Amino acid sequence: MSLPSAIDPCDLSLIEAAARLREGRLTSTVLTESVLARAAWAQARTNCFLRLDADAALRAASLADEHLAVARAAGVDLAATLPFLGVPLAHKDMFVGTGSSAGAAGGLLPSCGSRVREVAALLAAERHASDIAPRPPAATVIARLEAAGAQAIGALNMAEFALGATGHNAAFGDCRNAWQPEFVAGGSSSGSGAAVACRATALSIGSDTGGSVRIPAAANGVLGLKPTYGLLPRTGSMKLSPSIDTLGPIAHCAADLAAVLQIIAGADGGDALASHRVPPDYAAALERGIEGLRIGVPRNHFFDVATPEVRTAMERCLAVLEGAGARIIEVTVPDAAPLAELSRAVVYSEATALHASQLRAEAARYTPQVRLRASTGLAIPGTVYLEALRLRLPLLGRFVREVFDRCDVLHTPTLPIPVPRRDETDVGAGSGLWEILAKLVHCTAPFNYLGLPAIAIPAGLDARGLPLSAQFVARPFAEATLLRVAAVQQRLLPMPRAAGSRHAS
Amino acid sequence: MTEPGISMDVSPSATARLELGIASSPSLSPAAVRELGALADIPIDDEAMALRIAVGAGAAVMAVAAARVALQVAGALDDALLGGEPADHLATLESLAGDGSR
Repeated sequence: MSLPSAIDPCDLSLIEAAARLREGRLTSTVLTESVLARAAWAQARTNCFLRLDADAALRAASLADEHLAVARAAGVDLAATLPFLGVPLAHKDMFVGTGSSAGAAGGLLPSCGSRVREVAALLAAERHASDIAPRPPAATVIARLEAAGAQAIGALNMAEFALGATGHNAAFGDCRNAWQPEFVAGGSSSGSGAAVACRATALSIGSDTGGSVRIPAAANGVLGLKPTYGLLPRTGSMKLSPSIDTLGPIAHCAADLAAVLQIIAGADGGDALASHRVPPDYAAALERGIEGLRIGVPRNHFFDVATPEVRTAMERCLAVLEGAGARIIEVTVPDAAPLAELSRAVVYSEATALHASQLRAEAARYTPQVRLRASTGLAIPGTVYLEALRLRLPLLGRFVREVFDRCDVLHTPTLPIPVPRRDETDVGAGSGLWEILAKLVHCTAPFNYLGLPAIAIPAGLDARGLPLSAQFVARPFAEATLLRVAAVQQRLLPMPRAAGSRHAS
Repeated sequence: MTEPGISMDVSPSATARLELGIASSPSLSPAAVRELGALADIPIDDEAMALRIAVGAGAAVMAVAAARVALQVAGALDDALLGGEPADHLATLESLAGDGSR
C-alpha cells in the first residue's frame, strides 16, 4: 500500500478510501490509525469529539481487514453489498447506538450535548437492562451505514439539545471553528462540521431544524445537505421539533454525499413521517452537469442582510456556474418575510412540550441560553402553533409554484454575514448578540419550515481566511439537482485543501 | 436552532407587519410569561429570560398573523374546515416533487 507522501489516508474522500480498501491498496487498520491520529489533533484544536473509542475502532478495523481479505481472495466485489466496509466515521451525539459500533453511542444512549441527559441516560439504561422499559430503537441512518460496512468510532460535539446555531456548549465545552478556533464552528451539528473539515471523519450525520447541518458546514468550509422533510427516517434520533426535524450528511465532496444519501434514504417502517418514494440514482446525477439549469436569484429578503463581501462571493459563484452552462434568473420569492418566525412558532412549541418534564425536574441544569430556547413555547398559544402548521401547506404550494416554475434551484448565501467570533456570540456578549444569532438563520430556517431540500456549498474564503458558503434550494425531493450544482461548483471553485488540517495551505 | 426574541428589529416579520399594515406588536408582559410558567410548573425565575420569551413568543404570534393576511390577500388561504390539515405536509411535499428531469 502506498499513498502520495503529502496525503494521509484520512484525507481521502469516503468513496476513494472505500475503493482502496476493497482493492487492497489500503487497510482499514492503517486508515483507522490515520483517522485516530487526526481526531486527536482535531480534538485539541476544536473540541469536536464528545467520545472516541480508539481501541474498539482498531478492533473493528482488524475485523474489517479480515473480511476484505477473504472477499478479495474469493473474488467477491463488495462494492454493491458492503460499499463502505472498513471506513471509520463519527456522527453527532444524538443517535441511539446500534450496539455494534466501536464508539458513537455503541450500546449507549446519546448525550444530546447535555449534562441533563447523564442521569436520565443512566436510569434509562437500568430500566432497559432489567426489561422494565423497552430500549429505544437504534438510529436507522446509522444502522444503514453500518450495514454498508462503515464503523462509527465516536460521537461528536453539538449544541445542547440542538438548540443553538453557534456551537457554544457550556456543558462539554464549545466546539471551535476548524479554520480559526477563536471563531464559531456553527451549530447545532458543530462537531460534525469541524471534524469533517479537519478530516477526522470523511462524513458525519447531523440534524437540521433551523440550519444545523448547513450552518456548521458553511462555517467550516465543507458541504452540508438538508434533505427534503421525510427523505431520511429519523427513528432512533433525538427529537427537537418533529414537524420540522431532518437529518443530513456533512462531507467534503458531492460524490460522498450522493453515495451516503443512496444508502440512508427511504422509509424504514419506524418513522411514520418518512417518505416511501423510491430515491433516484444520486451518483448518476452527478455526471449530468448543469447545462441549461435555471438558477433563481431572489430579488427580495434573502440578500437583505448580506454583507458586501458575502454578496461579492455569491456573485463569483454565480459567474462560475453561468460559465458552466447555467442560466441566471431573478425571482421574487412569495411570503419570504415571515417564514423564519413561523418556523420558530413551531419549533419552540414542540421543543417546550418535549422538554417539559426535564424543565420541571432539572431546569437549573440547562445552560441559560438553552433553557430560554426550550421554554419559549410556554408563551406561544396552542392555536398559534397549530395555525403555523396549517398555513404551511398553502405557503409551501405558493412557494414551489412561484419559484420553481421559473427556476430549477434557488440561490442564497448560507450565512449572509461572515462567520462570527465565539466571544461576540456567547452569553452576555451584549446587545449585538441577538442580531447576529438572527442573521445566522436568516437564509436557512425558512426552508426548514417549508420542508424543502437545501445544500451549503463552500464559496471561497473571506478576507480573514474564513469560509464563505452558497446555499441552493430545490423543489421537494430534488436532492439530485442540488448535488449536481455542488459537484460543478466544487470542481470550478475549489476550496484550499484540508481546512484546519496539518496540510492547510 | 433559532433564537427567541430576536425578530423585533432585524427579522422579516417586522417588515411584513409594516407591509401588511399590522402596526403594533402583541403585548405580553414578562409577568404573564412567569405566570404561564407557574401554571405549567416550569419555573421562569429570571426576569431577563421572561422578557426574551415574551418578545420571542410575540414575534411568533405576529408572524402567523402576517402569513395569514398575506395568504388571504393572495386568495391562497384554504378553507380551515374543509381544506388541508397539518398532517398533510409530507403528502404535499410529495405532490409538489418534480419528475427529476431537470
